[in-house]
Amino acid sequence: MLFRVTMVCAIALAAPMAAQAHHSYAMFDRSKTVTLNGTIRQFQWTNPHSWIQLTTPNDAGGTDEWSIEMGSPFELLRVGWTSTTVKAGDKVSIQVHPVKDGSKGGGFVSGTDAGGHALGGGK
Amino acid sequence: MISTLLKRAALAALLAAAAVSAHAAPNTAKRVQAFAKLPDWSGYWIADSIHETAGSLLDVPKVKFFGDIPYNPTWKAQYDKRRGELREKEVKQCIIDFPTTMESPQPFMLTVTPEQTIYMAGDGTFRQIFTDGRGHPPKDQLFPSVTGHSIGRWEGQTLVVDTIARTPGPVLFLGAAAFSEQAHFHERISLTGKDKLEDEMTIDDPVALTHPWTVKLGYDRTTLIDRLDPYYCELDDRIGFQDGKMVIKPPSDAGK
Repeated sequence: MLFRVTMVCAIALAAPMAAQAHHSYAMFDRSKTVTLNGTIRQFQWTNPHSWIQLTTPNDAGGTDEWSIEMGSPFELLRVGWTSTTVKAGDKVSIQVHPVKDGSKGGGFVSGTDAGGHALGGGK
Repeated sequence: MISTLLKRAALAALLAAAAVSAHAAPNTAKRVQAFAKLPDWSGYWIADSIHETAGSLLDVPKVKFFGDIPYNPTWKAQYDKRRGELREKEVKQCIIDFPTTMESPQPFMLTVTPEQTIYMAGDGTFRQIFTDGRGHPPKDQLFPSVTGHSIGRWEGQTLVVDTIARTPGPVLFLGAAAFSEQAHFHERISLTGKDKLEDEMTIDDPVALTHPWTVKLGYDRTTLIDRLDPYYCELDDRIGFQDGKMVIKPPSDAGK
C-alpha cells in the first residue's frame, strides 16, 4: 500500500513550449501528474538527459520499472542536483507527467526523499 | 649485421631528434605578443536566459531565438505553424544550429588564439571564427553549414564576427528561429564583467525579416563543471521512434 501508484488529474497547463529541446514533449501527458512511490534502481547521470529507473509495486504482487526522464546533468547541477542526489536503494516519491500510451515512463516533475525533503532542493 | 644495426640506430636518433625538435618549437615572439593582447575567456560559459527545472521541459520566455522575431508575414506564419505543431507532434531533431546554439542550455567553452577563436558547446556544436585575416571563401567554394562560415577581427578586447552561409531553415532545431540563405550575422563579443560575457548580434535577412534584428545574449562563467560531457544525440538519447511513434528506449542494462 505504501508503494502504490496514485494518479492525479492536474489542471491542464497553459501548454508552454517544449523549447530548447531536441525532442518534443508530445509523448507525455501534461494534463496528468502521477505520483510514484518506489525505490531507485538506477540514476543515470547522462547527457543529453538524465534518467531515473524506479521500481514500484504493482497490483499483481510484483514490481514495475518506470523510466523517468530529466534534464541534462548541467541543467540539474544548476538547480541543486548532483550525481549522488539519489542512489540505488533510496525510497522516494516522484511526480511525473506519464507517457500517453500507458507504458511505464514519464517526464520528471518533482520528488521527495523518504524523509519528505524535496529532491535537489525542489526546483 | 653491424651496419644494419648502426643504420637503425642512426635512424632512431634522427627520428628522436626530429620529435624533440617538433615538440620544442617555441612560439615566436610575435605570436606570444599577440596572445598577450587577447582577453581571458577561459572556463565554461552558460547562457543567462535559461531557466532550468529538474524536468526536461523548459519554459524559456526570455530566450530570444524562440521569442518575438521580426519576421515578415510569410515567415511569421511558418514560424507560428511550426511552434504550434511542436505542442502536439512527436518530433525529434538533433541538429543544433547557429545562432540557436548561442542560447543552448548546454555550457560551452571558447578557445581564443591569435588565428581563430573556437566555440565548442557541450552538445558537440562548434564554430571556428577565423581572425587570421582571411575573408569568406568565394561563392563557388562556399557551401552552407549549420553554423555557417565565420571570420572576425579584434577591436581591442571585442571580437567582431561576420557569419554567412548558414544552412537555411525551415527547421533545424525544434521550434527555433529559421533564417534564409541570405541571412548575414554580425556579432560583437566582449566581457562586460569578470565572469560576464555578452554577444550583441545583429541579423540581417531581407528574405525573412522586416528589418535587421539585434539581440543581446548574456553569459555567465560557471564553476559548476570542470569539463564538457560530449554526447551523440541519436545514440545517447533514450527518446527514439518505433513504428513512427516516439518511445522511451530501455536502459542500457535492461535484461542483463
